[in-house]
Amino acid sequence: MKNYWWKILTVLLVAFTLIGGLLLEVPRLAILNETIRSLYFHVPMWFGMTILFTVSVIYSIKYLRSQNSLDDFKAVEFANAGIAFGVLGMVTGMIWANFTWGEPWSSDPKQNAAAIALLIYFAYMVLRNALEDEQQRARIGAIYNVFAFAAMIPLLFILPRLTDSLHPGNGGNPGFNAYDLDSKLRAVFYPSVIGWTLVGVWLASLRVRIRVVADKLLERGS
Amino acid sequence: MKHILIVVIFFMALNFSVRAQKLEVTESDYINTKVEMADTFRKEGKIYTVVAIVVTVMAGIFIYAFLIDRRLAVLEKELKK
Repeated sequence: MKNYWWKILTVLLVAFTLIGGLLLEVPRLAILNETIRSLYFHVPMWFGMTILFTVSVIYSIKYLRSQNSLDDFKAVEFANAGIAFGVLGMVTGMIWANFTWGEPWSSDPKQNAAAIALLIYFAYMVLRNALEDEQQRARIGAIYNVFAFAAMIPLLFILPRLTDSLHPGNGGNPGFNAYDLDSKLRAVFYPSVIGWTLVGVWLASLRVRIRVVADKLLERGS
Repeated sequence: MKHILIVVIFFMALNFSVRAQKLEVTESDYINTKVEMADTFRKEGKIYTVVAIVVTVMAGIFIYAFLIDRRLAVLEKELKK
């Protein structure tokens, strides 16, 4: 029970997001119509991804200091979960954009930047898999992860804001620009961000534990 | 103390500048019936069918995740012996 409480919280928060997200009142905005509810599912994917990548880079730095393979396992698996969230954010964004912007990919600055950021993280996984030696893989991976994170932040949060973007809050674009100022939307949006992020943490933690078990078995075998 | 004040002022300024740029959602947006929403669909109660299905799928997936979690815990215990 002691270790399970946050998993129960995860279930409750996601359940609230699904029920409240579909049933509670939302502003009636042109173009968006009923799809404004995607805010509770599409945007938390990106928030979750950013938080998971942040956790990942913290463990990478920890690994560089400690050389403890557990830190490396955590760094990889949080990055993996972050990539999964990023891909979901991309796909949900394209579905939503097809309705509101008229086409799935409008080469919007934020879309392009997000695609580049994801490719950088794909390369992290490719790089790791290309290295045979375990310690070398962990160390080079950790260093690369720091650079990947340092590239992801400006790509997603700074560069798209400098030009006009279709995304709300970037350039002079209206829409539901003020979603984060509206208390009714916020009441579902924030729990949703926490809930979905915890889903990512849960899945990452399962995979870390699998890695630890596999590692122990390997040690015994040799 | 001085630093805290600076941080507070910075965030207040940031908040105001952000507010100034944004198009605010107002009360009138909640009653603007000119914008088409799924009103009939909701009035007929069909939305509850959708909610029930979505929540059932979610519950199933989470139960599955809990079972995986438990099986892994058993493995970990076994390995500790």
